[in-house]
Amino acid sequence: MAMDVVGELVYPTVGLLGLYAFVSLASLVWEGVDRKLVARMQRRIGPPILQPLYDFLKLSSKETIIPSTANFMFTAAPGLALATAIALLAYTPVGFTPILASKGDVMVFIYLLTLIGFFKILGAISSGNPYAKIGAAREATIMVSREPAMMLGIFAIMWRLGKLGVDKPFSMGVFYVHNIWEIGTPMSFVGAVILLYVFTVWLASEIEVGFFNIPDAEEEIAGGLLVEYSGRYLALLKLTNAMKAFISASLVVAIFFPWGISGYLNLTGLSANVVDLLFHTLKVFALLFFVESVFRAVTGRLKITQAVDFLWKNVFLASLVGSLLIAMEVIM
Amino acid sequence: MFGYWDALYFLFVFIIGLILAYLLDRWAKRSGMGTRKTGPGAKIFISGEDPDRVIPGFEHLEGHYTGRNVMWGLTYALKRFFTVLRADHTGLLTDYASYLVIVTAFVMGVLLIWG
Repeated sequence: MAMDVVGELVYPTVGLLGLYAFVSLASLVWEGVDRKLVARMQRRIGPPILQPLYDFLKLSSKETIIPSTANFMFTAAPGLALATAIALLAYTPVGFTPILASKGDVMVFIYLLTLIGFFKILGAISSGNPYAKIGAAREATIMVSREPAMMLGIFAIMWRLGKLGVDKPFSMGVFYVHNIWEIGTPMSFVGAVILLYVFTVWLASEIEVGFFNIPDAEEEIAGGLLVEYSGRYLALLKLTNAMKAFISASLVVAIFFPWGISGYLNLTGLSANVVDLLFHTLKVFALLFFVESVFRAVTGRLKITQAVDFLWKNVFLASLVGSLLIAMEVIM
Repeated sequence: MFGYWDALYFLFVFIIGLILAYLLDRWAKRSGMGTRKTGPGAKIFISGEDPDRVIPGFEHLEGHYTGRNVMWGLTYALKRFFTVLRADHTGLLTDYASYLVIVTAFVMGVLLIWG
């Protein structure tokens, strides 16, 4: 059987490249906006909005120092982490159904999202620095504490949306067919609000701000995971982090605020996708304003034990309750 | 219906990601001021760890990420578990034979109930 090369390979590739170009720029611009907003909240002037872009270019042009104790994984990890983030873009809902939604489900998304953290840990422990080792241990600890709450929530939501009539309930495109507010019962509404809380905290811990700025605590362990990185490797890792923040926020936006505006403007095809992507970016920025900017301006870092306690005893429990409320009338 | 994954497409996008990351890295390598791997500047930053310092009692551990703290933490956290395991290894043949008999009886019991 002949394969439809254009439809199956060329379009996804072009779409992925375009998405990568857009998201890498948009996420770096968001980082600048975030720094500016937090600076204004603290009555500082703050850097220019394009500062993260300048930082990226400057870091790329600096000398890259590799510690004499580092091994091969130290140099390979930044590239691998960035490659993972780029691959993840193909499975991320960004205002429209993901490019490869029919080729991989929510498990692939979660797998790739955690793989980024895994590569960062691998690079850090390969540097030979004790601070990086502490950062890596903290990153691993917080990773296994935050993901179960998110996974439980997202599986419950997708399973419940599947009952509304979708042929592939665990596809990442399901949020654009039915959304969580359409379930309709009062209990499910309460459950959705609780899960919104869960996913907001998860997002904050995923991008490691405020309470959860534990793995790369700059003032305490000099950057933790990133302590030995410099020059172009640091540039790649900063870009990866920015893209990861955008992607994680995209998931929360897709679950709770999936509405697009292309329908109201009577657009179809590519123009509809572009308009929806831009509107989605606005929603991501609005969400990140609360979860990243405000949160990191008003809270301080927890100890790792406090964070783990909080994520298990508060957030995971809330996720359990929310999932049960959402699934209740189907189970009973 | 539940769960699907096309490994070839996964590999495809991952390779695209690797190529993009490699191109970015190569561009930065060419436009940057080079890479330094030796000399005093390449020592571990801050943190008090000095590769040239000899720690008495730890000379036999090669390298600077030996994992000795991690290993200590692991054994300390699982100390009670290890104590139980160690107590079981008595070295007496009759003990090991009794373990074999107990495990066999357990497996037979499971097979009898569910088999």
